[in-house]
Amino acid sequence: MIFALAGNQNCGKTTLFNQLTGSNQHVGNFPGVTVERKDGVIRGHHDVTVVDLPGIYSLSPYTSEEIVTRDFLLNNHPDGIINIVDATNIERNLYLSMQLIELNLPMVIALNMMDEVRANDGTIIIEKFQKELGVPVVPISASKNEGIDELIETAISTAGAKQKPKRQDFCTGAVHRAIHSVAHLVEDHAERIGVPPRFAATKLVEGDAPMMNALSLSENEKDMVGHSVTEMESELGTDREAALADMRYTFIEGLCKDTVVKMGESKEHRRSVAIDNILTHKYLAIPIFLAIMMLVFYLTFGVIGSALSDLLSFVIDFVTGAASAGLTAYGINPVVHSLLIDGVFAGVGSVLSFLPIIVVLFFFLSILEDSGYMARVAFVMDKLLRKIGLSGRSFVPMLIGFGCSVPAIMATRTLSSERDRKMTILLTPFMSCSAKLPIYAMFTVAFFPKHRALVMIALYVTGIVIGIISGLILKSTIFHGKPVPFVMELPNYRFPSAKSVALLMWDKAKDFLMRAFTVIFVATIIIWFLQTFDTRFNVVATSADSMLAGIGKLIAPLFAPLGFTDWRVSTALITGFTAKEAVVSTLAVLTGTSVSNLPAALAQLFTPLTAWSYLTFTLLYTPCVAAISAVRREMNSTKNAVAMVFYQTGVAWIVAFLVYHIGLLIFH
Amino acid sequence: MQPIDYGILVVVVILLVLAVRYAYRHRNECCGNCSGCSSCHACSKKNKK
Repeated sequence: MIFALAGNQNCGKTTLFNQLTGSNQHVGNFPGVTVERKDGVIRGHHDVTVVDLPGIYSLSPYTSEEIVTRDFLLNNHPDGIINIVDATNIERNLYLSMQLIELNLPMVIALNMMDEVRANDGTIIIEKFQKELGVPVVPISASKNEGIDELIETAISTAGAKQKPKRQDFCTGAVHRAIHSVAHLVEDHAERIGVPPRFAATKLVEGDAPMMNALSLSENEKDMVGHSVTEMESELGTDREAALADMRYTFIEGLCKDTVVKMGESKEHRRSVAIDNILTHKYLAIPIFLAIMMLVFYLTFGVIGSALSDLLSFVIDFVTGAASAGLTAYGINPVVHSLLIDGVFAGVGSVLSFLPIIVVLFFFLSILEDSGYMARVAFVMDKLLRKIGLSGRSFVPMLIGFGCSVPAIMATRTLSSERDRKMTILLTPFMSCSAKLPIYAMFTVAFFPKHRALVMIALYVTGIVIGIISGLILKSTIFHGKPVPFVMELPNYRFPSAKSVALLMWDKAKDFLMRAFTVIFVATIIIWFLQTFDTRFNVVATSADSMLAGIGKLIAPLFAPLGFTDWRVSTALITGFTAKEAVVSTLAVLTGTSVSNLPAALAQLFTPLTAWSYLTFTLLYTPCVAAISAVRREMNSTKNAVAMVFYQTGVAWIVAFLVYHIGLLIFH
Repeated sequence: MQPIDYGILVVVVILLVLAVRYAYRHRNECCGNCSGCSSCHACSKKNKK
């Protein structure tokens, strides 16, 4: 037995899905699109599967999520639908419910968040509610695991008895006449393609082009449908879409009037409004956001993260020293000894030491996100982003880009405008990703130890500023036009869930460790090999005679104008193409130092000014190969991806050049 | 070089092969944070279990 789980976004669908299935989940994609699909077996019912469909607000075919949901319900023929409805926001949620009922599949409505309704002195007369709608209704609280068992039993018995909705006709007057006349007209076409006639008729009256094409109506039939719609519109004095929406909301209003005892404004909502009066204030919002981010950076790079990082560096050095002593005691060959100690331990260890900083940073960021604050930031940023030709909706992918460019580029799929989407994809890599943190952290420790948080903030702000300037250039050249309007739902503020925060920290830590022991490990060994042997595969006395030095000296002149005279410095930048963390591991291998001595070794290669120039370059230059692949996939164009690489590297070179030479003018 | 040196090199090579294989298989993936991503697990070509 297969159930489809459908509902609006933010109605507790994922929470319910997790309650229904526990850990028995499988994550994949709907075929042909990259919208996520989650399947799970319901606990205690091994032959019952539930498919978590994307959160949608209607079954209109405008977004890929809506199309995927509709196609699944029409073509995959689930045995039943579990429609989750947020009882604290019932009117808006029921709009989708009414459309789902028209699919004429066995259906159960799960009225979620009933605990909040009760806590705020509201109630719903369930018997009357389900009688009016014609489908079973089960009150639940997914987060508190209330009513879940009853929901499962009701859903299984409804689907098992193939109990279809007892009512599908919610309209009167002109809309009723239009839908019924169209339903009679297209009945045989609808049955031929396996679509309920009522649903097909409603969609045709709404002007649903895909449905019109699927039914393969003759020209005469299309004219008759058009005639019915025109009659309806002229009688009501409104367009077809408004007429249908009005019909549904009129019914919903009547239903809620009879069955819903309104809860008072919830205390969560009152609290959110009070907090929003400050955090989204016209003048205070952005300064507050900057202050919060400064605090996060200070705690991460100046206090907690740096202390833990120093401790881990000490441990790594101790382990490296012990390993070295052990290898020497066993009489291991010097080259093998060097491979392990100067290569693997130095390279991987130098990156590993930054794990605490990454974890601490994402601890704070996930608190901000889980609390609901980041949704407000997107709203606040809308006005600013419009100046560069984007809307606040583009801020969400950019915010994700501060973690990693790959999911950020994928998150641009939520942007309905292709123009906004492409522009956001091109600007997102300027938002400095977390993989660059080890580079920043290492250099700030080496050259700006007393101003770590300030340097970090300056780097991030620089990335944002360059992104804004690029946006202005793109807006006035390739991407003319206005951004789409921005409408978003602001969830109530809530206390961050310890589980969500812990899960995010674990995700991040796990991935960081995997990258350190895979990509960084490989890059480290390659670098060690190239810098240990010459072109005849003889061990060199000094790395300046190695293969790597030969390669490095070829590209070093390109970076000389930026103040980087040593070949090792520019070579490290090349390895950043595979993974940004590899820049640090490469420098560690090339300078032949331990983790804790790397800052001192860097001081031999850089001055504070050239360090700043180097940081600017690493901030802005091409993202890693995974991000470039994501750009190529999402823009469906290798040419655009390559152009982006050249553009970003060019911008990085120019800005680093300016930083270095302006610094020379000021300080020398 | 002693047998133990060769043994170490063999281990390193095996780890290298495994690392390259892992990196290749996950070449299109992001840097974690799947639980908070709207495209969770959708950035890799193969489905994950």
